Amino acid sequence: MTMINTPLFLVVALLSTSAMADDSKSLRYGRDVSQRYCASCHGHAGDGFGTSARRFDNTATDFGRGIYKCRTTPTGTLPTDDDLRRSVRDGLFDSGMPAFVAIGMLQIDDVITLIKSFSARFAHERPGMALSVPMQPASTAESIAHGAQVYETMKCANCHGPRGRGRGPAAATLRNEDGSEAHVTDLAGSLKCGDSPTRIYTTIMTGMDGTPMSSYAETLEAKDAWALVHFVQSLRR
Amino acid sequence: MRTISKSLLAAALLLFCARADALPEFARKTGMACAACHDAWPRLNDFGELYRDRGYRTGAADDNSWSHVLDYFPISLRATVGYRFDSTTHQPTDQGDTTINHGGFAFPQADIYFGGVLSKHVSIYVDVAGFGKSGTASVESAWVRLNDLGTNWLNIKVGILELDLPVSMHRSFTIFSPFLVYGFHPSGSNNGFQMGENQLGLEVSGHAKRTGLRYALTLTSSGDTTSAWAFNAPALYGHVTYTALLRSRVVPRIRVGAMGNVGWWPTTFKTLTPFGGMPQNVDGTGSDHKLHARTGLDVQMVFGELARPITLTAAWMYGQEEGALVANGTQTAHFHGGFVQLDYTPILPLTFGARYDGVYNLQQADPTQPDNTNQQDGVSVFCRYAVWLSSWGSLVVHTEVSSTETKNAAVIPTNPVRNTLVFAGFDFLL
Repeated sequence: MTMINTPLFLVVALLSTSAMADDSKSLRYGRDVSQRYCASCHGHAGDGFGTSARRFDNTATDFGRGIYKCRTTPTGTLPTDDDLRRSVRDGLFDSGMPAFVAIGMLQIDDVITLIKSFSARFAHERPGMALSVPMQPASTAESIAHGAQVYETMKCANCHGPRGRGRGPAAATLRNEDGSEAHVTDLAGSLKCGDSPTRIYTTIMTGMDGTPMSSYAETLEAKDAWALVHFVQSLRR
Repeated sequence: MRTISKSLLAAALLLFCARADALPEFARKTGMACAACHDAWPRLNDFGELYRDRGYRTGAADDNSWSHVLDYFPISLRATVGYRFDSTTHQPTDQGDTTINHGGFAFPQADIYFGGVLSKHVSIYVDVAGFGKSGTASVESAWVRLNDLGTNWLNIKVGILELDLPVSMHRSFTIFSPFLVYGFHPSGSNNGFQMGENQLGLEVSGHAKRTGLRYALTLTSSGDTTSAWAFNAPALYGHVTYTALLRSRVVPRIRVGAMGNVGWWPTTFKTLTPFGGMPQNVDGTGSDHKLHARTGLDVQMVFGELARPITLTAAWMYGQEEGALVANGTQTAHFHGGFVQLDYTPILPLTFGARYDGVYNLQQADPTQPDNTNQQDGVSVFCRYAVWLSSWGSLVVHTEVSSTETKNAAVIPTNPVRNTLVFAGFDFLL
């Protein structure tokens, strides 16, 4: 009888152990995942000084600062777990950060636990409230023309240039918060946080923290922001 | 004579060196660690498989090799050096049945690889392998792949390519001990199709955007000019797999697959008899093609952490070859076989494990042959430890021991021939 029950007991014990996975376990697993996929660029300490980091034009993110470009939360606030998950899963365009969708959500969640552990901000602050994106109006010739006006009024061309190619008069002088040279996005090329209308809208309204790209949530109405999205999309055709 | 050829065949199987593929040039290009794409070199993990299935593209960054060509060394080199001992029992000599031993430092071979992306829709790969003592080398792989032809479900590869086997011969943790079932043919078979070897052909493949379903369908022709058909000794091979990544700490990954192949090989030739010699088959005159086929299932399960995987891999196949393909064959030969492997990567540089291989006859083509003639089974044990592991390459201490037995292949037919191999050395990749 004991012989029959022992394997059953082991299976139940293993499954129970699995169900009780906590953050410390996730953190330990996250380190293993990072060793394979992340550390070569972001460094074992998450400081962005991995052995391969210098290969890329854009520096690898220093997780210790707790500052993230691609978020759905207001500028200056921490990203949500979903924001981090999206960046790891889908990658960041126009950078060396590929999509890690193939490693599975379990490993992605483990590595997010690790990423958050690098910055004290996550221990003391809560993520900002995710932006509520209103329904997109239809893209028309009028909305694109209106977006071009918004582009001019907001002086987007100063950095991005009149045709959005990233060659505005101020582009060469721009610096990131860490003092590094800012890479002004060519709006007709790859957009770091994604090029879907919703992702462009979110980037405009939340800004890209740590870079000169500020949030326009306080200065743009939703309809103006959508018009700007349509204009940016027109530059990409 | 037949027993000698059987023994030589068995020895050749063990001497055959399945060169493992891994390309540090990709690590150099992407800046990622080798371990990002490999559970342990050379076996690919899901991230590596998706990278391969996309045609060596990550999908997010600029993947074009040429825009990075001055940033990294775009060619990979590989060599394996070390001590090797081979032993084969029950071999014929003038002094009688004996065991033949060979031991010493094996002459190293070197391979050169280049794989890259010409554009989003075109990838290429060349592998010149086997630079050895004789000064000769062969083109192991050379193909052009058209990626994402309207959808990720349609990619076309043409050239010398590896079949999408349940477990890649070129990504095995055993370098010198091949998967027996891939190279098996019934006793006395003249069928030259070797599914474990790279094939001349065209592959149509597709994959989900993330880990999941993938398929590969390959049409091959023989490299030997044997058949009179416009398409030389054709074969069709297919493999479908589904991989599930589970939210489980116990079994986080399961893959199941199904494979099958069907092919035709000529059995009748016109002959030419040289003066004073024996009649010889004339290439390009082969006719009366006969069918050979296989079907099989494979499964792979990972236990524990995906980043430190304990992996159980099993594949089993059923095969048949028409009697005319076999010397003195009067009925269709049937057999089944496969392998089961368990391996563990407790830390990134270390992988060890063991594999059982077996192939068993169900029916001989020549009814006068004993049922177990040419049956094979064996066990391989391996351990690989990377003393140097970086995106610039690897230096791995590789040890491998295997023992394989082939039934009724000796001078005295009832004796089995046992091949034993021991290797200890370095596997170097740059």
